[in-house]
Amino acid sequence: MAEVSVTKGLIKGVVKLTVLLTVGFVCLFLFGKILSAPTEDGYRFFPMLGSRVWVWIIAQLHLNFAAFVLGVPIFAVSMEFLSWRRTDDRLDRIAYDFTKLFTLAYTLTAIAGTVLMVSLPLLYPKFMGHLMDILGPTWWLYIVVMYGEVLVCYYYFYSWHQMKDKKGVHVAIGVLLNFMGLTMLLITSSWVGYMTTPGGVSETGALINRWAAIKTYMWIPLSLHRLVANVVFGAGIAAAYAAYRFITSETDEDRAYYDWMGYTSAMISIGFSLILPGIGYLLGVEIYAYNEQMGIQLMGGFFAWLWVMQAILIGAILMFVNYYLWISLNKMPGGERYFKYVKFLFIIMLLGYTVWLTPHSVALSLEEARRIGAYHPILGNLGVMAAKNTAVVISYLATFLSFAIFKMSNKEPVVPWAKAGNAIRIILVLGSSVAMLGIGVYSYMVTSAVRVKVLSPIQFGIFFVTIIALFILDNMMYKNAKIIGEPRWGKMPERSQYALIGITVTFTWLMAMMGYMRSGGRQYWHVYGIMKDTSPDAYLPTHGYAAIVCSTVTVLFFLFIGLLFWSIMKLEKAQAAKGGAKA
Amino acid sequence: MKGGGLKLLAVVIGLNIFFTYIGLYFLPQSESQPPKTIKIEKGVTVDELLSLGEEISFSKGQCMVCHPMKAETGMRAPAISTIGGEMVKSAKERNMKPEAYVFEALVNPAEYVQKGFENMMPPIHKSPTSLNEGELIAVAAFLQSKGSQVTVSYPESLEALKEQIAKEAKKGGS
Amino acid sequence: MLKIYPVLAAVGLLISIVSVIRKSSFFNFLGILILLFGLLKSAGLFIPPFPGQVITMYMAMSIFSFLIYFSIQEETFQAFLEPMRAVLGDEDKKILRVLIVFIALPLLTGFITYTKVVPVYEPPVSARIVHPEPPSQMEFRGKTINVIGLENPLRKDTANFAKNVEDGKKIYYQNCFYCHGDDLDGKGHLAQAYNPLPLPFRGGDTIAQLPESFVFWRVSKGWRGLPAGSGPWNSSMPSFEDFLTEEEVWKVSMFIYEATGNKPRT
Repeated sequence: MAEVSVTKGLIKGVVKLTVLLTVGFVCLFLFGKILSAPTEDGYRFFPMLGSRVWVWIIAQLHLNFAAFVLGVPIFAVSMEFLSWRRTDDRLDRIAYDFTKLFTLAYTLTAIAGTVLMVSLPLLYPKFMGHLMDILGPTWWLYIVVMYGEVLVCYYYFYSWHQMKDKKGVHVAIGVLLNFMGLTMLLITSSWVGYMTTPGGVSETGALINRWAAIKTYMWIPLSLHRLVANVVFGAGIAAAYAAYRFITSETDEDRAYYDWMGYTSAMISIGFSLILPGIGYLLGVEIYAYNEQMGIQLMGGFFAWLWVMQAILIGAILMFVNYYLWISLNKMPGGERYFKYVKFLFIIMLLGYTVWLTPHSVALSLEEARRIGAYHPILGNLGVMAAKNTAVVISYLATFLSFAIFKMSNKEPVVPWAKAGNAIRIILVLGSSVAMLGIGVYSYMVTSAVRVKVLSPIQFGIFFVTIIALFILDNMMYKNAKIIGEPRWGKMPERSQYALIGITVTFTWLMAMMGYMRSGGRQYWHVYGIMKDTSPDAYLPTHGYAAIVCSTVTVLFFLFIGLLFWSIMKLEKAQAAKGGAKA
Repeated sequence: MKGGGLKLLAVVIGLNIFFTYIGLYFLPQSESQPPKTIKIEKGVTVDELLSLGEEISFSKGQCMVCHPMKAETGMRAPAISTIGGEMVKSAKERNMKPEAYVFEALVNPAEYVQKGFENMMPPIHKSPTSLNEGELIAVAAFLQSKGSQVTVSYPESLEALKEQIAKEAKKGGS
Repeated sequence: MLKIYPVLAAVGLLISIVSVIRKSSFFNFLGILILLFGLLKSAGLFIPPFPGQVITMYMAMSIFSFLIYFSIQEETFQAFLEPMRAVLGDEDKKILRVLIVFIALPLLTGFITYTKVVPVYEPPVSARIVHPEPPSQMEFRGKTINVIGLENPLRKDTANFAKNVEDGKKIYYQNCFYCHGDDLDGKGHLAQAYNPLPLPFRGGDTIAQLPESFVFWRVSKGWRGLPAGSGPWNSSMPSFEDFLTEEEVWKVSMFIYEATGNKPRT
């Protein structure tokens, strides 16, 4: 009986994928016949929206879902592994809930992918023809891996309860699933990498070396960046799910569980987001190494103002996170002792945010321009990279402190060196802050090359060393600590859940915007430097226009994902009702 | 709790409206159009050549991405406003005609890099910048006008330009 | 106008202090915002003022952040909501409610609408190179002069230095002073009529940064000599070659350097 449901699940998965692929190919064939021939330079036009916006929206939606289904398994398996090692049922439940989420999201991902698969070759026949010439084999490999991924994923999900006693094997299957996911990610990144930083082809676009066309400058850094961002994003969506379930749940027990799930997911999300700037830096270095012009164009040219937007968004995310942690103090017995520190953390966050969103040059009215001159003496100094890097590391450090405060708020250390430990902590925090500030000030006096290549990495290095040291110190100090009381999970005001949703929405929007920048960095090229975009959409739209598209994508994504959450809840309720009736 | 889902949806939509608002009303609004190819006719006057060259430097050539107009600290590449004079100096140093040197600097920039700067300029007759011969001559004239005598002209300088392009192609081996 | 902002900041501070004592976080919130706004605006008294856009940005961020701050603890949050609840629900606040809904809100909306639609007569801003590179050659009353490497011939004549400067002073007061000012600070009595303002010669930003050949070219050719990037239409400087001789231009150049204590850049 039990075996059947696994087989059934597998069959369901394969059938779904095959149906979608078939529909896709049939549509391609039929539309290819029905639609009028493409224009001379190889374009068809999507009605109303235009090809670009249509493909933009679909691709971004597909990417959002894909990021979710690739990111969540990573920590679902980690959770399962932990629950297996520690035999903690709550961890097992959360891992299972995550798995349920991404297994169901597969269908939505595949549908979006199919629409994209039909749209691209129909709307951009010449461009896609070129991509198929260069990277065709990877596409067929991609389909094969996709089948593998679906099989493993459905097996992983449907065999969850049967393999309760064989956790080790089950975790191994989960690892295999992630391995598959990683392969898919590498394949898709190679396509994007080729479009942005092509290699392995002649100047006219003839294939010279396929491996070189796959292994482009951007490939590995982009894959890494996407991998980590997927985890951050997946965890964020899981937090949003927890928030949704928390707000709509009717029992205290459910609220306690979903509160905990939201907290765990949000912390995974933020924890992984700490390394994103570093990998982003790597990605930037590779883009510069490929082509300085593109690098500068992305960082300081047409897209310069989108970095201010990015600052606003990341600042908002950090604020939301801190807010969530500060509210969480309410539910910790003994948490009220720490509210006095929140004030200072808040001021630091506020100052950091202020510096971070200060633009270097602003659109002035004539009146202002007359009185200020080219650069404002204060704003001009706050708006540069030196100040911003410092603000970011200090805000991150404050966020980490909020987290540390939350963790220790219901405990009291019993180790004999507790006083000394506290002193060390204060010295660590103050010392590293002063060091980071000092480097920030010193950055003004050196050339940009030294700042970028030497001082910024040192600054981030100090930050990481500090939080690792603090982490170790806290773990040692609070070993076997006296616990004042268990956290009152579920005793959270509703507004804290909006903060969780805020984190996820902001992050999704940020992803849409950064995706646009990555794609827009090619300017009027399909394949940078190899194949020109000669369609009417070759120009880069205004930032406002891009913002509208990003918002549309984000709202659409949340509508779909909301639908998914809602149906999971309905399903669970129906099952519970059935179970209840039986009993 | 009833209506919780709708409230969350409201938060989602509200945040998105807010972000769109920032994008629309806070950020500067401009489009970036793909450049147009400029065809240069025979018998173009020096003044026309200069203004065309200036236009290309600012648009299609993307020179301004790295080169500042006026010298500033920490600049990536030599300033345009004095570049003509600098090029005459470098040409003398290397025993080249100013004309040959300015073309070399455009199509084979790695050959000689000004002191204090890194070798990072792409050959601009190649993709992605892909200026054509006429455009290259216009840019060369514009650069020479910044602090030295303009010696290039169209189509008389084509020969010298082609020579440099051939040199670059030979070096690249492709 | 600027003078009222410190007062505003003080009022904000006062509101904030009083509401801290009375534990009313809502008014504390308002007080802090007023204080911040006042401070940001009154910064213009000491340093160049912050651009309006930046102030809007900072204020939006402050509202967001302080909303967060006042909703961390349940107690503060309830105190924060209390005045709003009272206005919306209390029986004895009926008049206040009516006032807010029918007078204050419409007035506020009207004010915002007014500030948005009131016509302003400001030209759009365009980036302009104030000191462009002069051409390598120029014509002065039909005579061709090489600008590159051009030096003031009168400076060699050290014997007559004082006399030349004195002549330059006369020429300055007959021709330049109406716009560039008695104190050479760009604040002549006609200055305010021009946009952009005439440049001052004092300070280290203008002639101190320029070689004397530039001054000669700029004075001689005026707005007509400017390249397109510097917007010749955006300058009122006449072409003084029509009014002065070559020697007179050099004299006046010597005077403005001498009178401001600046040295030409070499």
